[in-house]
Amino acid sequence: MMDDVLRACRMQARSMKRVILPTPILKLRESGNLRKVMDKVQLRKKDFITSIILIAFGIFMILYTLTEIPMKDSWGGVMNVWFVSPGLFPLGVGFLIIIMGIVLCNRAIKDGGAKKFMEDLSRREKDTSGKTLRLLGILLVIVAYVYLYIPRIDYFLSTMLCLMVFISFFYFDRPDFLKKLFTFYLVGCLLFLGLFLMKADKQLNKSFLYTTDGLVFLFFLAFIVYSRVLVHGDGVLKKRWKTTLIMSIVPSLILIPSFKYFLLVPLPVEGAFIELMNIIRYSFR
Amino acid sequence: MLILERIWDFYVTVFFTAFNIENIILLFGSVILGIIFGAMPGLTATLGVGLLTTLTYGISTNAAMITLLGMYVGAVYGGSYGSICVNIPGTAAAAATAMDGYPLACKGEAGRALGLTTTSSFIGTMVGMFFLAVFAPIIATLALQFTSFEFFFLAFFGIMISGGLTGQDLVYKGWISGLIGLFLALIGRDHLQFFPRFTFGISELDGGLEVVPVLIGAFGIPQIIQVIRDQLSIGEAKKFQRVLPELKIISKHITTIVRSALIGVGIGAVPGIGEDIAAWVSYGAAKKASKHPENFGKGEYAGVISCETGNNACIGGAIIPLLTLGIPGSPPAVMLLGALMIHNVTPGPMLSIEHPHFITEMIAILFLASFAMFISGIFLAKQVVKVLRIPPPIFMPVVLTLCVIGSYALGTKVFNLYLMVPVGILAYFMQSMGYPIAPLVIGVILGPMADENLRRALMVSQGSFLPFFTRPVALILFLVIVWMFISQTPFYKRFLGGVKARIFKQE
Repeated sequence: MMDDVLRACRMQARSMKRVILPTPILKLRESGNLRKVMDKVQLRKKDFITSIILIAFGIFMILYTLTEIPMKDSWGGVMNVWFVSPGLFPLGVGFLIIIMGIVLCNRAIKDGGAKKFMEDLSRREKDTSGKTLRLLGILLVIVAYVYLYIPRIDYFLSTMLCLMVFISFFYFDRPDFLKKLFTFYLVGCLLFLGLFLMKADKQLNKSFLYTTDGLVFLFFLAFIVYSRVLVHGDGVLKKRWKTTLIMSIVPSLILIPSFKYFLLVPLPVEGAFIELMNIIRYSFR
Repeated sequence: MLILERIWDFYVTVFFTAFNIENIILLFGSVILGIIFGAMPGLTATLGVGLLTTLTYGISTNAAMITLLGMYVGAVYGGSYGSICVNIPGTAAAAATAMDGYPLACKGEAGRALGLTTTSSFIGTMVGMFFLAVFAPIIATLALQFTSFEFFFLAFFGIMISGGLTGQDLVYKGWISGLIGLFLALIGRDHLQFFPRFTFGISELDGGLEVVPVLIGAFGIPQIIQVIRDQLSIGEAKKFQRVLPELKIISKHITTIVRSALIGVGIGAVPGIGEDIAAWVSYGAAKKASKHPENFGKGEYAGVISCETGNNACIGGAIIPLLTLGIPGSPPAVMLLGALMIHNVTPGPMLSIEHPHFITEMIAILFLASFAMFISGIFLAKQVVKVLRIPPPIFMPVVLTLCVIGSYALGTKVFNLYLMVPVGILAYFMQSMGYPIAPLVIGVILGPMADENLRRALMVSQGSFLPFFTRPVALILFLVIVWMFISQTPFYKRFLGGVKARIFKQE
């Protein structure tokens, strides 16, 4: 008899979407579950935004395919039929992306994601964990390294600067230092961006060889000095600063000659430092 | 005759590889590097294989495969070091190992736990290798009968199943990820008529996205951002004395080993499903079959043995569809595919015709790699654990520079880096919103296969879709794909719930 009751309860619980629990159990589970529910709503809010982007992207794919890719016309002397058209597959993918976007949007609306999105439009949440700044720090380092320095500055110098900045941002493990170093590096990057956008670097390099490399090297030295000033008076941080400096130079010294001289890979920009490496390498041959 | 020939081939390859000093140095070097890579939290087997791929383009295909398989086997095994010694899995594949590995270390049995993981990983790899040897030629022969109709559905099935099984939040998030991968694969000139698609006049995009920078971006950048942003910190490693093979305990758990190895191989053979799922499923199965499931999570030997056997057996399983169908079975296998393409080896049904000895060579390398892993694991465990002391803010920036130079070095094009970064940032944000990354890269890899075969098939049938449903294999694949879609609809779930309720009622 008891087993039957239990089985019936279990079945009812399985079939019901929301089970109303007795107050003590609710109290016990409240803290953990509430957090999960909150996280889920937050996730659905993001899903709602993503779904709109997906639908828009799917529409763009279909419109692009229909307007830019020949479905039936002649192209390059070949008369097309719809089933061999290069637009056939993109059309299908675009269509599926729209369907998935609609499904995701539907789910986000059902789970309260759209509501949360509308609520949050009027108020802005402030990040107290410092994770946003950490994320911005990482993105700044990566974007500056790849788009700003690698195409224009000596590869060895770019790598050394990237390592120095990246390690010192996070190895000191101090949010206030991260803020200061981030601002310092951002200002430096913006100055160089201005220089490159005005194409002043080419003029300078024409007048004096490796001028931009020299300027970036000065920036690298300034960053070292600034970070040293920040850690002044703290024994543990001083030790970390030394490690940071070593770790910005040693991997660059191993990695770059290995690719340049052993794997024979021509580096993106071979400026002052790689020229110096060449002189040293070929003087020992 | 064919079987004897293959066995002979296998022993000849093993002999020539093992007695070549350069190969042995490469093998042990890559296995040890793999163990270190796997042991360090935040560095995955996929990233390891990807980064090493960029260093192998100048060496022979055989040497490249020795290096990459060595890294793959070593990294999957190495993940257990972090799990056991500091309770932080080195790789996702070793997450299940931490459940019982760390409690064992807390009891003062870290050395024994490492001995068990070393031996069970060795056995798991060997079983995976055995299945690769048996099934790869059979599947390759069967795949020769496939035409464009089957290959279109096969490519689509690969993306669908990978998306369906890796989606942690919602199943269709995995599919969306796969569709985004398909879009990325569309960029560039199409392979049949050379018409530029989604290039927006950028000439560098004409050749399409290069696979390796996309793979490194998709797996490397999110990993770097996540580890640094979430401030992953590593505690003091548990101390241990010697690492022994622990054959006595292993022999007591032979059933668990066989079960986990079979699970590992099976999961490995499913496209895009990696070692992590193999380990968890093996762990779950071992717990379910155990007479004392309550001991799991408290330092049960069977827990450690099951997941380590499962994740290493997955390697052989993942290579089966890679070599025979050109569909990678796991994320590190995706990287292997990229490496094979660099070396002008196109995996798929034609592989056994174009390179008749290649599959046997891979089996022989896997065999040697598992021995190298076992020897390195037994003798170098104490030294490897020392790398766990390196804090992530120091090694992650170095990994970034490796990702950058690796992506650049393949085509010596800075444009590759311009691609790698946005793909990486996109992958990071997708991952943080619950979208799995494996289907995205599977989509990038299988996109051209799906596109070309769809159009070729329609060309053959003059625009008729009928052969897609009259050919038995194509029809089965189509029905499975449709079922995967339908199984996610509320209607199907309600229907299934109703059927279950009725069955229970009858009981």
